[in-house]
Amino acid sequence: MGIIETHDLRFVYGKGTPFEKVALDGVSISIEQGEFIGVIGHTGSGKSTLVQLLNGLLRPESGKILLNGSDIWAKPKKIRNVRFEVGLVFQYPEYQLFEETVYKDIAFGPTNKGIKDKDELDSIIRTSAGFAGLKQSLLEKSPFDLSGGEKRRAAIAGVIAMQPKVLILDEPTAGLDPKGRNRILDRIRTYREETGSTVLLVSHSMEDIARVADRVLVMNHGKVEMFDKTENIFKHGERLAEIGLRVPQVTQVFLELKRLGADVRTDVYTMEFAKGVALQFLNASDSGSKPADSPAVKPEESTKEKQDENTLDNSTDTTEKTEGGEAQ
Amino acid sequence: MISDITIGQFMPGKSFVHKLDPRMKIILMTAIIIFVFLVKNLMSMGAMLGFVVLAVLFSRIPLRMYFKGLKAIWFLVFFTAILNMLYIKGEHIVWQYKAITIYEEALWQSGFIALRLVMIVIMSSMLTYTTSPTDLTSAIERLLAPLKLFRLPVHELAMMMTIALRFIPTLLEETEKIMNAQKARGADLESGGVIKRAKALIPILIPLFISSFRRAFELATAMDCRCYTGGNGRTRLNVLKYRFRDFFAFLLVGGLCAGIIYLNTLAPSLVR
Repeated sequence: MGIIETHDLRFVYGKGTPFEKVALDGVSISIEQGEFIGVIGHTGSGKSTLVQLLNGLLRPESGKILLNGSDIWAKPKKIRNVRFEVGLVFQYPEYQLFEETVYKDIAFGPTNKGIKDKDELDSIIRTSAGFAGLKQSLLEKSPFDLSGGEKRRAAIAGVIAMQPKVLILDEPTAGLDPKGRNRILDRIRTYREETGSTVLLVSHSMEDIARVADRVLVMNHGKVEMFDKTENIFKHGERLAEIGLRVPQVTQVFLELKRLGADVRTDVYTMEFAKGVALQFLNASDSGSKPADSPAVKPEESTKEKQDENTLDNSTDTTEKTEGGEAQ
Repeated sequence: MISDITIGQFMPGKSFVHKLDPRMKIILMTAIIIFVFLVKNLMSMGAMLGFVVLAVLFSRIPLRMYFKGLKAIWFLVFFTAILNMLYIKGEHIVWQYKAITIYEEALWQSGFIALRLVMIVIMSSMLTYTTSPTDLTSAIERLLAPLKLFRLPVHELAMMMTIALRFIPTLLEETEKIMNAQKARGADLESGGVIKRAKALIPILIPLFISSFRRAFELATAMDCRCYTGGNGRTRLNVLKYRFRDFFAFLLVGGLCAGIIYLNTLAPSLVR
């Protein structure tokens, strides 16, 4: 049994108006304790609706959401408790900051949860700030004096401070520069490793998802398109392109290599792994005793050799492409 | 909850009412609202009610939307009706209990007043349901244009209205987002006494104020960038033009008004 399960969820926006729109239909998923799930889908595919349903901000039209095996809408008056268990960081969460100091703002969640003891609260706030990568000196500042990335991290700390069992982040890196993005992703990863919580990350960036997720949920027009291990998802490059998504850029490089005739693996989706594969491949082709300027490898030759070890039109061409991939 | 607010909500459509020139719509709605108050007996009330019902049908806006608009004033209608019933004195007593006396005249009058309020709300919501905010303000700008003679900054007022109307949905959306974000942090907006509830609004109002100011500054910059300097010398992309249907509607409403005045003379007045 998963920590969160949904059964046949359906949700409709603006029911009974001309603007009526089915946002989710027949969504059944199960997420295990401690998993890192990436959620992708084009704009309007129902990702954001799904995450709001998971923490009880929206009530499903039909279907059930089970948290630890019990229906979260069993007692509608107690729905607030679900929100402490399933922490949701919205898109552009920096617009929710309101207190005089960052410290007080982070305290908002845990205080609502009912934590009154000052020392306990203090330690929670400081650990959450640490997880979010906020310097202690920032805690006494007004949230409105922080930089964009700092505000974002302060807001994330505010949700982490509720000590949720499941943390959901809706595009936490949107609108940040590469450094800010990496910082937030690293923080989330560390947080997951240290606390063992379940994390759901909604993102438009395949690179981000590829870097952190164990499993990926692909949404398309309010339905679950795929839900599988990350490497299995990115094998379906064509299908992903059809529904307005793509594979990570580095995977694209390897797919293109394959198309050009190089016998490389295509389940490459992170830079570290790509580097290893590329090096291995280049070494293999260097030691493969064939002249570097040979126009093409003969078919008999390539069938003899095994995976990862060969076949390309021109090794210099490959080197360029691989470097291009790494630069991104 | 917040999406239930329908004031000023535009419902796109292609009905006869939608297609009318917004200036004509404003003039006609005003005329109808004035004549709602001139309705004096059952015959003219019948004519007016019939017209309103027809207009509602012709607007092709779901009836539900009108009921939603009426919900807001339900209490007001009920309250004024009760007060009128208790306070108006007449000659024919219908019911008496201790100090409370209800006269026939009072019943008629309160009934008429309730119906008038309902019709006014229906007609004015029809105006906003069927007219896009931009059409509405450009119509107001054109209708008020003569006041420029008195140095009234008509264009600027219209621009302010356009912007205000334009940002109602944006701010509602923003409010909803912030409310959700704070609810996700366990904010309790639905229970507690008055003071607790007022306090619970702080986490919503402060971010809302800040983002409104941010939006205002951004908008001002954007307008500056496009060299906006006010109304002088500005032309319009879509110039409003009266068409045949506008004159048809004008004649229709004109006929109704004349009819009401005539019907009023046929039977004695039921209201003072």
